[in-house]
Amino acid sequence: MIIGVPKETKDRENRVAVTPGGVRELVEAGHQVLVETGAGVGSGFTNQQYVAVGAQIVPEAADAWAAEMVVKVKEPLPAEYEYLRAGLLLFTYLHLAAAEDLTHELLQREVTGIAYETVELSNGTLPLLTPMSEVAGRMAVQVGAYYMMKTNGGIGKLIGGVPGVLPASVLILGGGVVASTRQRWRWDGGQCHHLRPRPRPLALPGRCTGRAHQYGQFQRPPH
Amino acid sequence: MLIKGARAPKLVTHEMIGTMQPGSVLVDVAVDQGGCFETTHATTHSNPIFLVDDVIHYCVANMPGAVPNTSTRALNNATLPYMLKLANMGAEAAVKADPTLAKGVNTYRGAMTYPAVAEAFGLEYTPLTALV
Repeated sequence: MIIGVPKETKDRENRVAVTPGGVRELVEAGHQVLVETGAGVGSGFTNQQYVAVGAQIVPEAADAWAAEMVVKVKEPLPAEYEYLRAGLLLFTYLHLAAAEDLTHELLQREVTGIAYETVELSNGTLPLLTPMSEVAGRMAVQVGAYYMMKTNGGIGKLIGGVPGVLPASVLILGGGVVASTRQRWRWDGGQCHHLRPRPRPLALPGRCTGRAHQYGQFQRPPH
Repeated sequence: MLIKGARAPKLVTHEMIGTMQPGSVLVDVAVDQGGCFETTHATTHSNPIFLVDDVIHYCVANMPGAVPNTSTRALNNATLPYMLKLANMGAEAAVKADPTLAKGVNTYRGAMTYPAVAEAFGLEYTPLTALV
Protein backbone atom coordinates (compact mmCIF):
# COMPACT_ATOMS: atom_id res chain seq x y z
CA MET A 1 0.00 0.00 0.00
CA ILE A 2 1.09 3.60 -0.55
CA ILE A 3 1.04 5.50 2.75
CA GLY A 4 1.19 9.31 2.95
CA VAL A 5 2.52 11.30 5.91
CA PRO A 6 1.69 14.99 5.49
CA LYS A 7 3.24 17.70 7.65
CA GLU A 8 0.81 18.82 10.35
CA THR A 9 -0.72 22.24 9.65
CA LYS A 10 -2.40 23.10 12.95
CA ASP A 11 -0.88 26.07 14.77
CA ARG A 12 2.14 25.01 16.87
CA GLU A 13 1.54 21.31 16.19
CA ASN A 14 4.98 19.75 15.99
CA ARG A 15 4.11 16.08 16.16
CA VAL A 16 4.18 13.78 13.12
CA ALA A 17 2.22 10.57 12.58
CA VAL A 18 5.17 8.24 11.92
CA THR A 19 8.75 8.17 13.22
CA PRO A 20 11.61 6.89 11.05
CA GLY A 21 11.41 3.68 13.11
CA GLY A 22 7.76 3.34 12.12
CA VAL A 23 8.60 3.97 8.47
CA ARG A 24 11.20 1.23 8.60
CA GLU A 25 8.59 -1.28 9.76
CA LEU A 26 6.12 -0.22 7.07
CA VAL A 27 8.76 -0.39 4.35
CA GLU A 28 9.95 -3.80 5.55
CA ALA A 29 6.35 -5.00 5.29
CA GLY A 30 6.46 -4.04 1.63
CA HIS A 31 4.75 -0.66 1.66
CA GLN A 32 5.73 2.63 0.06
CA VAL A 33 5.83 5.63 2.43
CA LEU A 34 5.60 9.22 1.15
CA VAL A 35 6.69 11.79 3.77
CA GLU A 36 6.07 15.47 3.10
CA THR A 37 9.33 17.39 3.32
CA GLY A 38 9.98 18.67 6.85
CA ALA A 39 7.11 16.70 8.38
CA GLY A 40 9.31 15.30 11.16
CA VAL A 41 11.42 18.35 11.91
CA GLY A 42 9.30 19.55 14.83
CA SER A 43 9.73 16.17 16.50
CA GLY A 44 13.46 16.03 15.83
CA PHE A 45 13.48 13.89 12.66
CA THR A 46 15.21 15.08 9.48
CA ASN A 47 14.26 14.20 5.91
CA GLN A 48 17.54 12.28 5.70
CA GLN A 49 16.52 10.03 8.61
CA TYR A 50 13.32 9.12 6.79
CA VAL A 51 15.14 8.53 3.50
CA ALA A 52 17.67 6.30 5.29
CA VAL A 53 14.89 3.88 6.27
CA GLY A 54 13.29 3.80 2.85
CA ALA A 55 10.78 6.68 2.79
CA GLN A 56 10.34 8.90 -0.21
CA ILE A 57 10.33 12.63 0.60
CA VAL A 58 7.70 14.52 -1.40
CA PRO A 59 7.76 18.32 -1.82
CA GLU A 60 4.06 19.16 -1.42
CA ALA A 61 1.25 18.22 0.94
CA ALA A 62 -0.83 17.18 -2.09
CA ASP A 63 1.75 14.51 -2.94
CA ALA A 64 1.47 12.90 0.49
CA TRP A 65 -2.34 13.19 0.42
CA ALA A 66 -2.45 11.35 -2.92
CA ALA A 67 -1.58 8.08 -1.13
CA GLU A 68 -4.11 5.29 -0.51
CA MET A 69 -3.82 5.67 3.27
CA VAL A 70 -3.00 8.99 4.91
CA VAL A 71 -1.79 8.93 8.51
CA LYS A 72 -1.81 12.12 10.56
CA VAL A 73 -1.94 13.43 14.11
CA LYS A 74 -4.63 16.13 14.10
CA GLU A 75 -7.90 16.25 12.19
CA PRO A 76 -7.86 17.76 8.67
CA LEU A 77 -8.27 21.55 8.71
CA PRO A 78 -10.48 23.36 6.13
CA ALA A 79 -7.42 24.07 3.94
CA GLU A 80 -6.91 20.29 3.72
CA TYR A 81 -10.51 19.40 2.77
CA GLU A 82 -9.57 19.59 -0.93
CA TYR A 83 -7.45 16.46 -0.44
CA LEU A 84 -10.37 14.39 0.85
CA ARG A 85 -11.65 12.08 -1.85
CA ALA A 86 -13.65 8.89 -2.35
CA GLY A 87 -11.74 5.78 -1.35
CA LEU A 88 -9.19 7.59 0.80
CA LEU A 89 -8.36 5.85 4.07
CA LEU A 90 -7.60 8.45 6.76
CA PHE A 91 -6.14 7.32 10.10
CA THR A 92 -5.72 10.15 12.64
CA TYR A 93 -7.30 11.87 15.66
CA LEU A 94 -10.65 13.15 14.37
CA HIS A 95 -12.77 14.23 17.38
CA LEU A 96 -15.78 14.46 15.06
CA ALA A 97 -18.32 15.07 17.82
CA ALA A 98 -16.77 18.53 18.10
CA ALA A 99 -16.37 19.06 14.32
CA GLU A 100 -19.63 19.14 12.37
CA ASP A 101 -18.17 20.64 9.17
CA LEU A 102 -15.44 18.01 8.98
CA THR A 103 -17.99 15.25 9.61
CA HIS A 104 -20.03 16.39 6.61
CA GLU A 105 -16.91 16.69 4.44
CA LEU A 106 -15.81 13.13 5.27
CA LEU A 107 -19.29 11.80 4.49
CA GLN A 108 -19.86 13.76 1.29
CA ARG A 109 -16.41 12.96 -0.02
CA GLU A 110 -16.80 9.28 0.93
CA VAL A 111 -13.63 9.08 2.98
CA THR A 112 -13.10 6.14 5.33
CA GLY A 113 -12.10 7.89 8.53
CA ILE A 114 -10.66 5.86 11.39
CA ALA A 115 -10.25 7.93 14.54
CA TYR A 116 -7.40 7.16 16.93
CA GLU A 117 -9.49 8.27 19.89
CA THR A 118 -12.31 5.80 19.30
CA VAL A 119 -10.19 2.70 18.69
CA GLU A 120 -11.32 0.69 21.71
CA LEU A 121 -10.21 -2.59 23.25
CA SER A 122 -12.75 -5.11 24.48
CA ASN A 123 -12.11 -4.01 28.08
CA GLY A 124 -13.24 -0.48 27.19
CA THR A 125 -9.81 1.15 27.22
CA LEU A 126 -8.63 3.44 24.44
CA PRO A 127 -5.13 2.34 23.37
CA LEU A 128 -4.49 5.28 21.04
CA LEU A 129 -5.64 7.92 23.51
CA THR A 130 -3.68 6.41 26.41
CA PRO A 131 -0.17 7.46 25.28
CA MET A 132 -1.14 11.14 25.12
CA SER A 133 -2.81 10.85 28.53
CA GLU A 134 0.43 9.39 29.84
CA VAL A 135 2.28 12.43 28.51
CA ALA A 136 -0.29 14.88 29.89
CA GLY A 137 -0.23 13.24 33.33
CA ARG A 138 3.52 13.58 33.64
CA MET A 139 3.50 17.10 32.22
CA ALA A 140 0.85 18.18 34.72
CA VAL A 141 3.25 17.57 37.61
CA GLN A 142 6.05 19.31 35.75
CA VAL A 143 4.06 22.46 34.92
CA GLY A 144 2.50 22.50 38.38
CA ALA A 145 6.00 22.49 39.88
CA TYR A 146 7.13 25.21 37.47
CA TYR A 147 4.27 27.59 38.23
CA MET A 148 4.66 27.11 42.00
CA MET A 149 7.97 28.96 41.67
CA LYS A 150 7.79 32.51 43.05
CA THR A 151 9.47 33.82 39.92
CA ASN A 152 6.55 32.43 37.92
CA GLY A 153 3.90 33.98 40.16
CA GLY A 154 3.50 30.94 42.39
CA ILE A 155 3.59 30.28 46.10
CA GLY A 156 7.37 29.80 46.07
CA LYS A 157 7.55 26.16 47.10
CA LEU A 158 9.82 23.49 45.68
CA ILE A 159 7.43 20.65 44.89
CA GLY A 160 9.60 17.98 46.50
CA GLY A 161 10.90 20.05 49.41
CA VAL A 162 14.39 19.41 50.79
CA PRO A 163 15.57 17.45 53.85
CA GLY A 164 13.99 19.17 56.86
CA VAL A 165 11.47 21.20 54.84
CA LEU A 166 8.07 19.87 53.88
CA PRO A 167 7.29 19.40 50.20
CA ALA A 168 4.27 20.94 48.53
CA SER A 169 0.90 19.22 48.78
CA VAL A 170 -0.46 17.75 45.58
CA LEU A 171 -4.11 16.89 45.05
CA ILE A 172 -4.99 14.57 42.17
CA LEU A 173 -8.60 14.36 41.00
CA GLY A 174 -9.68 11.31 39.04
CA GLY A 175 -8.62 7.72 38.61
CA GLY A 176 -7.89 7.38 34.92
CA VAL A 177 -4.70 7.19 32.90
CA VAL A 178 -3.72 10.83 33.44
CA ALA A 179 -4.17 10.62 37.20
CA SER A 180 -2.48 7.26 37.61
CA THR A 181 0.60 8.28 35.67
CA ARG A 182 0.98 11.34 37.81
CA GLN A 183 1.53 8.98 40.70
CA ARG A 184 4.59 7.57 39.04
CA TRP A 185 6.24 10.91 39.61
CA ARG A 186 7.92 10.33 42.93
CA TRP A 187 9.88 12.53 45.18
CA ASP A 188 11.17 11.76 48.65
CA GLY A 189 8.43 12.35 51.17
CA GLY A 190 6.24 14.25 48.69
CA GLN A 191 2.68 14.41 49.90
CA CYS A 192 -0.07 13.25 47.60
CA HIS A 193 -3.76 13.59 48.26
CA HIS A 194 -5.69 11.62 45.72
CA LEU A 195 -9.43 11.67 45.19
CA ARG A 196 -10.75 9.20 42.70
CA PRO A 197 -14.12 7.66 41.94
CA ARG A 198 -13.46 4.15 43.17
CA PRO A 199 -11.31 3.27 46.16
CA ARG A 200 -9.35 0.67 44.28
CA PRO A 201 -5.59 0.45 44.61
CA LEU A 202 -3.71 1.01 41.39
CA ALA A 203 -1.05 -1.47 40.48
CA LEU A 204 1.68 1.07 40.02
CA PRO A 205 5.07 1.60 41.58
CA GLY A 206 5.25 4.50 44.01
CA ARG A 207 1.51 4.77 44.12
CA CYS A 208 -0.48 6.78 46.57
CA THR A 209 -1.19 4.54 49.48
CA GLY A 210 -4.41 6.35 50.42
CA ARG A 211 -7.89 5.46 49.34
CA ALA A 212 -10.59 7.79 48.11
CA HIS A 213 -11.06 10.73 50.46
CA GLN A 214 -7.98 9.77 52.39
CA TYR A 215 -4.45 10.73 51.65
CA GLY A 216 -1.23 8.89 51.36
CA GLN A 217 2.41 9.58 50.78
CA PHE A 218 4.51 8.82 47.78
CA GLN A 219 6.71 5.90 48.60
CA ARG A 220 10.42 6.36 48.48
CA PRO A 221 11.65 4.94 45.17
CA PRO A 222 13.86 1.88 45.45
CA HIS A 223 17.52 2.70 45.03
CA MET B 1 -11.46 13.15 34.08
CA LEU B 2 -12.62 11.47 30.88
CA ILE B 3 -16.17 10.35 30.49
CA LYS B 4 -16.39 8.90 27.00
CA GLY B 5 -18.31 11.12 24.61
CA ALA B 6 -19.43 13.57 27.30
CA ARG B 7 -18.26 16.78 28.90
CA ALA B 8 -16.03 16.49 31.94
CA PRO B 9 -17.81 16.96 35.28
CA LYS B 10 -17.10 20.24 37.09
CA LEU B 11 -15.44 18.80 40.17
CA VAL B 12 -14.10 22.00 41.69
CA THR B 13 -16.30 25.06 42.19
CA HIS B 14 -15.24 28.70 42.11
CA GLU B 15 -16.05 28.82 45.82
CA MET B 16 -13.58 26.00 46.61
CA ILE B 17 -10.88 27.76 44.62
CA GLY B 18 -11.46 30.85 46.77
CA THR B 19 -10.27 28.87 49.79
CA MET B 20 -6.90 27.98 48.22
CA GLN B 21 -3.66 29.71 49.14
CA PRO B 22 -2.62 32.57 46.81
CA GLY B 23 0.00 31.30 44.38
CA SER B 24 -1.34 27.75 44.37
CA VAL B 25 -1.52 26.10 40.97
CA LEU B 26 -4.35 24.25 39.20
CA VAL B 27 -3.57 22.14 36.12
CA ASP B 28 -6.66 21.11 34.13
CA VAL B 29 -5.92 18.09 31.96
CA ALA B 30 -9.58 17.80 30.86
CA VAL B 31 -9.74 21.06 28.89
CA ASP B 32 -10.55 19.23 25.64
CA GLN B 33 -13.69 17.89 27.31
CA GLY B 34 -14.67 21.26 28.77
CA GLY B 35 -12.50 21.22 31.88
CA CYS B 36 -13.08 19.94 35.41
CA PHE B 37 -12.80 23.27 37.27
CA GLU B 38 -15.69 25.73 37.23
CA THR B 39 -13.22 28.54 36.48
CA THR B 40 -11.50 26.81 33.52
CA HIS B 41 -11.22 28.28 30.06
CA ALA B 42 -8.91 26.86 27.41
CA THR B 43 -5.46 28.45 27.03
CA THR B 44 -2.57 27.96 24.60
CA HIS B 45 1.15 27.24 24.86
CA SER B 46 1.76 30.89 23.86
CA ASN B 47 -0.32 32.17 26.77
CA PRO B 48 -0.78 29.21 29.10
CA ILE B 49 -1.99 30.64 32.42
CA PHE B 50 -4.50 33.00 34.02
CA LEU B 51 -5.39 33.90 37.61
CA VAL B 52 -8.67 33.47 39.45
CA ASP B 53 -8.64 34.59 43.11
CA ASP B 54 -4.80 34.62 42.92
CA VAL B 55 -4.77 30.91 42.04
CA ILE B 56 -2.77 30.11 38.90
CA HIS B 57 -4.76 28.17 36.30
CA TYR B 58 -2.87 26.21 33.62
CA CYS B 59 -5.47 25.05 31.07
CA VAL B 60 -3.59 24.33 27.84
CA ALA B 61 -5.77 22.25 25.54
CA ASN B 62 -2.95 20.36 23.85
CA MET B 63 -0.34 19.65 26.50
CA PRO B 64 1.47 16.82 24.63
CA GLY B 65 2.14 19.28 21.77
CA ALA B 66 4.78 20.95 23.95
CA VAL B 67 6.93 17.82 24.03
CA PRO B 68 6.67 16.54 20.44
CA ASN B 69 9.93 14.64 20.57
CA THR B 70 8.42 12.39 23.26
CA SER B 71 4.78 12.59 22.16
CA THR B 72 5.44 11.59 18.56
CA ARG B 73 7.33 8.49 19.65
CA ALA B 74 4.68 7.58 22.24
CA LEU B 75 1.89 8.05 19.72
CA ASN B 76 3.54 6.06 16.94
CA ASN B 77 4.46 3.25 19.33
CA ALA B 78 0.73 2.85 19.91
CA THR B 79 -0.55 3.50 16.37
CA LEU B 80 2.02 1.51 14.37
CA PRO B 81 0.53 -1.97 14.88
CA TYR B 82 -2.82 -0.66 13.60
CA MET B 83 -1.18 1.14 10.67
CA LEU B 84 0.57 -2.08 9.73
CA LYS B 85 -2.64 -4.04 9.96
CA LEU B 86 -4.51 -1.55 7.76
CA ALA B 87 -1.68 -1.45 5.21
CA ASN B 88 -1.13 -5.22 5.15
CA MET B 89 -4.76 -6.27 4.95
CA GLY B 90 -6.50 -3.23 3.49
CA ALA B 91 -9.16 -1.31 5.43
CA GLU B 92 -12.08 -3.66 4.83
CA ALA B 93 -10.34 -6.88 5.83
CA ALA B 94 -8.55 -5.20 8.73
CA VAL B 95 -11.69 -3.83 10.39
CA LYS B 96 -13.49 -7.12 9.79
CA ALA B 97 -10.71 -9.03 11.48
CA ASP B 98 -10.07 -6.65 14.38
CA PRO B 99 -13.00 -5.41 16.49
CA THR B 100 -10.69 -2.96 18.26
CA LEU B 101 -9.89 -1.23 14.99
CA ALA B 102 -13.52 -1.48 13.85
CA LYS B 103 -14.50 0.71 16.83
CA GLY B 104 -12.30 3.41 15.34
CA VAL B 105 -14.24 3.63 12.09
CA ASN B 106 -16.24 6.87 12.25
CA THR B 107 -17.05 7.19 8.55
CA TYR B 108 -16.98 4.41 5.94
CA ARG B 109 -17.35 5.24 2.24
CA GLY B 110 -19.98 7.91 2.84
CA ALA B 111 -21.76 6.25 5.77
CA MET B 112 -21.74 7.43 9.39
CA THR B 113 -20.66 4.43 11.42
CA TYR B 114 -20.09 5.90 14.89
CA PRO B 115 -23.25 6.19 17.02
CA ALA B 116 -22.18 9.10 19.27
CA VAL B 117 -21.27 11.30 16.28
CA ALA B 118 -24.46 10.34 14.42
CA GLU B 119 -26.45 11.34 17.49
CA ALA B 120 -24.54 14.61 17.96
CA PHE B 121 -25.46 15.84 14.47
CA GLY B 122 -28.75 14.01 13.83
CA LEU B 123 -27.22 11.84 11.10
CA GLU B 124 -28.31 8.40 10.03
CA TYR B 125 -26.23 5.74 11.78
CA THR B 126 -25.20 2.64 9.84
CA PRO B 127 -23.49 -0.15 11.78
CA LEU B 128 -20.16 -0.99 10.21
CA THR B 129 -21.12 -4.65 10.22
CA ALA B 130 -23.81 -3.84 7.64
CA LEU B 131 -21.15 -2.47 5.28
CA VAL B 132 -18.18 -4.82 5.46
